[in-house]
Amino acid sequence: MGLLTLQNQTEDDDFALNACIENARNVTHILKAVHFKDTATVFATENGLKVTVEDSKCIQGNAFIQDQVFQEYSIRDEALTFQINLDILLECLNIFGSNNSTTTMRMMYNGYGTPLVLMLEEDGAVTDCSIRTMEAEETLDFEFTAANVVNKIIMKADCLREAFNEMDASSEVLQITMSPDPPHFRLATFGLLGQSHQDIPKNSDMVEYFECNETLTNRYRLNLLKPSVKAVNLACKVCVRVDHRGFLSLQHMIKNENGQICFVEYYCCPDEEFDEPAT
Amino acid sequence: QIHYLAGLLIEFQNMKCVLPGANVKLFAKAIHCLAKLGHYVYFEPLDTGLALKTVNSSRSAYVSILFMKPLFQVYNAGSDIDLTVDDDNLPITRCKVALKTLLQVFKSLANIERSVETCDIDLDGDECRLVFQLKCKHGITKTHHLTFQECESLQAIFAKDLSPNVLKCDHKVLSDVVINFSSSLEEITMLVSPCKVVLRSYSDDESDEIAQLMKTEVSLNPEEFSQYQIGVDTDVTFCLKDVRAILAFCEVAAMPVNIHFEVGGKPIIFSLGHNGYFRANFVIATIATDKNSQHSNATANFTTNTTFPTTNKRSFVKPSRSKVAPKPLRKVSAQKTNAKPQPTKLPQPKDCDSINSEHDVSPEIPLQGGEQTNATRYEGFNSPSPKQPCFKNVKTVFFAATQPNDLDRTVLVLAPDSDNEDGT
Repeated sequence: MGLLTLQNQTEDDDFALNACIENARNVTHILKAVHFKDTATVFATENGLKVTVEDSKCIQGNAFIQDQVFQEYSIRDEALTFQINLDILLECLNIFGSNNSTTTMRMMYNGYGTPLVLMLEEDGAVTDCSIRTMEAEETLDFEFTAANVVNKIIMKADCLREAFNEMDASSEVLQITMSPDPPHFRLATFGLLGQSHQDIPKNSDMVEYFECNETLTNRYRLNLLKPSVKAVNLACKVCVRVDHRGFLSLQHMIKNENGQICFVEYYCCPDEEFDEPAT
Repeated sequence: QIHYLAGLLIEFQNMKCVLPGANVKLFAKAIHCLAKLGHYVYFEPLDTGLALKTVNSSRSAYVSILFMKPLFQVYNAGSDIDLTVDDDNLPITRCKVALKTLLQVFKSLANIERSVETCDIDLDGDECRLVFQLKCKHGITKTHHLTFQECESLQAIFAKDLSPNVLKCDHKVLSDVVINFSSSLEEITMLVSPCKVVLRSYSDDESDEIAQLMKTEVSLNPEEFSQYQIGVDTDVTFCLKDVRAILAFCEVAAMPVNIHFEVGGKPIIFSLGHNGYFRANFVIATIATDKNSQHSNATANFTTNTTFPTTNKRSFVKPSRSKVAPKPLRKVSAQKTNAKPQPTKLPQPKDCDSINSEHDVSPEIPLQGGEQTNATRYEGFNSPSPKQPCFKNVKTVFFAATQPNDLDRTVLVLAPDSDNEDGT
């Protein structure tokens, strides 16, 4: 770490983005929660980093790492965007293995066309990594606004984690029902072997906030939603929201090792019925 | 009013039971155990309780676990109607469910132990679904509507009360022994004599170098057993994997295990139970060897007389003991020849799957022992022609009246159990 601090004094102003964190695991964990595709788009602003991963134009995972998570965070421009291979980034972050000692990490980026430079240090051993960045492509805008949210439930992650992990993998879809009337919150699967559903009533200890205005039942592709299990596994609380179009938002509140709270958000499109008359 | 009543009646006829949280773990563990042995579980609601049964694809292992009424908060077996009557309006009382499906319900034993408060089991005849509803802590309910197949009663024929050899011990004794054997080992041999029990690794394949390199043998003194009754000195060879599954279940049940057996080629029966609460029988095929066919000739009256009332057991066992008394002498020589795989053994049919060949009967029986052995094996046994593939011989170790050409049929109509094992 001493070395990284030293470097900082000489090169601080040379980089468009310069961030340093004493415990790289805090970054690694959050990134893992959205690691379901190799390519990620990184947006850096003065508030921190947002890492976006998308699949099939139907699901989007966003990991937010706010500037407070880093011990040092400076950005020269207003906003920076680049694409990076998330697989490689995570591999670099994990280069010292996932043992108990902490890795210190400094991340530097010097704008369009330059590689992302990582300096990692653990117990005096230093690794320099340089990862090529790619042209940022436009990410999806789900137009998911709080004003259009019809139903919203905040619950402890434990029960959702259990539900997701026990889910019948042979089912193509996950049907989510949110309703002001019982069963309040229902996750249903339709597999080869039968139909299963899990109900969580609003008066359960697991439910912290319940605001459902109308009964909405929507189906989501299970294989698209699967990656969010990674986030649920790390989260302590999850906020489930559905808007009037049936778009689903899952906000995962993840506590890192320093006790700071980070968010990972997933958006997913509902599965349209094929026999629906075209309008 | 009348409609309401009618509805009530129909509902009443369907099986419905509620298992309290404390017993769900036992039930779940039973499902896990059954899943290791078979592909389908047969649900049979009886007056005494709910019976879960399975048989493996090669029919070399049969399990019947009966959860009796006191284990349930609510128990309604539904009306037992003869399914042979072809009437669609009759409610379904028995069904079989793929164990893969059922495992989905009882996937995580840790979660079940931690959070399940009650488990409702309903057989919904109208919807043709077997419904499991787990009511968990925090008001969460998990409901599983499982597809099932109608089936007839599955019943193996065995008479453990007539076995000359009975061992009873804590499951831990066996677990400690079994853990010593290589995990790749297919079968073990149990040799019993009045002074000790020896368990040793078994391999009939001389080309299997690993099996030839390491042989494991563990001896147990009679003191290890709470009951030690050896009527016939014998050795029986059976599937180790099955035993492991049984012992895993015994661990949760925390009960001593009884072992009833006769000679090679006759099934070995592991059983455990808690009077009035639950009972489990695991019937595992043993490999028939050449000398065992001689044994079975000598001890033929064990099986041919299974129609005798069980009250005759004592008077029945005694003479047979004296009858087999000169055995050890013959056994010594027999064991020597048995130490090496039979040289006369015919090549096994290639199309036998691994499970079949595990319990392969050496073809000497049909060829040499011929009809006599088969005829004396079990009552109701249709003696197969000597030329039929050997695995069919194993298949019929427990099940009577199976035609050689209905291998694919899994539904069986079988003679009633001579052991009254369903506790009537």
